Amino acid sequence: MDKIGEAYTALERASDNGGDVTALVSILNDIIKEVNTGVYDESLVESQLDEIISEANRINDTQLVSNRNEYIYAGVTILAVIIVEVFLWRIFPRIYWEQWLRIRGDWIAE
Amino acid sequence: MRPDEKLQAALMLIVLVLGILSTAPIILGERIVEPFSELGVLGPEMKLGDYPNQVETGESMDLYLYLGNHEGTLQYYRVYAKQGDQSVNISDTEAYPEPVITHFDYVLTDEANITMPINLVLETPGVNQRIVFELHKYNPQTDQFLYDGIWVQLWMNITAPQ
Repeated sequence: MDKIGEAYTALERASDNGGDVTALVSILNDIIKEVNTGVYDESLVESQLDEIISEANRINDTQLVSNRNEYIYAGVTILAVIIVEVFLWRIFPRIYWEQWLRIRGDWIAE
Repeated sequence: MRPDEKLQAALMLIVLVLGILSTAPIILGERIVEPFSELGVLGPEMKLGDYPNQVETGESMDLYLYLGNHEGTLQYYRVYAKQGDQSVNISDTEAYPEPVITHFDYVLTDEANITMPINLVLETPGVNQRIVFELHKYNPQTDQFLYDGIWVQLWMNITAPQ
């Protein structure tokens, strides 16, 4: 049955993008088992496979948005690290000695 | 090194390490070093080695099939059971060219495995027969199951009922 392959492909795509398809895989295995017996209601099986494909596509779309957000987070983090590193490199010594002078500026060397 | 330089170097290192730790899993993802699949056949008691070595044609033979997925992706497996003898060697590249008795299909998520009961009925009698179990994987591009080079076999004598 071609639609089983179609359902599997949709699940594989969602899974490759990081989606959790465990429950749908379990349903697909039940359908495969039923189809392999040779005794099954074709229209019912087709509608179940359609549901799997639809749900897998929904999981895939959600996961793609989540992946995009993760990449945005990674980009922002890298940018923040660069800014903080430049800040520490250029400005930190001045702040350090300003604070040192503020705290210990009245010390007298004897 | 002056005290401000020491503190500056330490802070810069801490920030760098935190940045790497929080972004590396996202950028690198999960790396699969050596993807592989597992295939095994267990006897009626779910043990290795308690296989029947004498069966009658038409007799139902209960076994267990073990499948494991470490491919890093979802896999749709098909295991073909074929009956042959010593005249044809089994290859790791070409599927065994003997008749298919039956097949078993299963979809496994990554890092999952299954031990499922299977039932075989052999119809052709013969001495020193081997039942070959071959693992095939579904290829969505070709819409076909392709031989994965993984197989196991059971040797047995198959007799006609008296």
